[in-house]
Amino acid sequence: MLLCRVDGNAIATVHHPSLRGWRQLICQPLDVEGFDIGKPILVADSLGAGLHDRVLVTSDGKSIRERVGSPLTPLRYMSIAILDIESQEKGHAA
Amino acid sequence: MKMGKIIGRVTMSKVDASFVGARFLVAVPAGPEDAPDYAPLTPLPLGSSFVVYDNLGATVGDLIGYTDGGEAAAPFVEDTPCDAYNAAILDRCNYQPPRS
Repeated sequence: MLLCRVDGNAIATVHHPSLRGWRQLICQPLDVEGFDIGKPILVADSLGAGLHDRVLVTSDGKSIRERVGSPLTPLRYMSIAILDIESQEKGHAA
Repeated sequence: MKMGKIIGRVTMSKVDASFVGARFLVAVPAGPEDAPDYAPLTPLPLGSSFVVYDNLGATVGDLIGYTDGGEAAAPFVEDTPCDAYNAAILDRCNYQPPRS
């Protein structure tokens, strides 16, 4: 799973039918300390994550196909949790 | 999905049987900063282009959301050797990273 920060959203009127109704958030993957790592990715979101929220993103295709309800969906990333409290003792990740 | 920008087309004379009549575009990985209304086109990293399967009708200059890896072959009913699939043409990106 990826720890990401929501940096915005993308709007696409022309898309694969299975993406219908799914918000696409632009999320920036973060490393353990919370710094940006890699390029932003598009994450399907049904939790209503707001701007600059930290979300937990899964890239497991099988569970996404079940959630979307279509075995043909090309979706790859989906938000599964919005992180509230950031607690990090020395040596242990959030 | 990941974000990519279409920079060209590819026409193939010989393709795998499951790809007959398919449409292939050349894209490079892009970020939301490359969105048309967001910022001028940032210089494209050389050597990072890839070919993406498209049946949404994307054209050169479009910002797309593509999926790579195993999920790219999911939309095909029969087994297809596809590892980059254009899943969405992005019209607009609201991209506001925190100013830290």
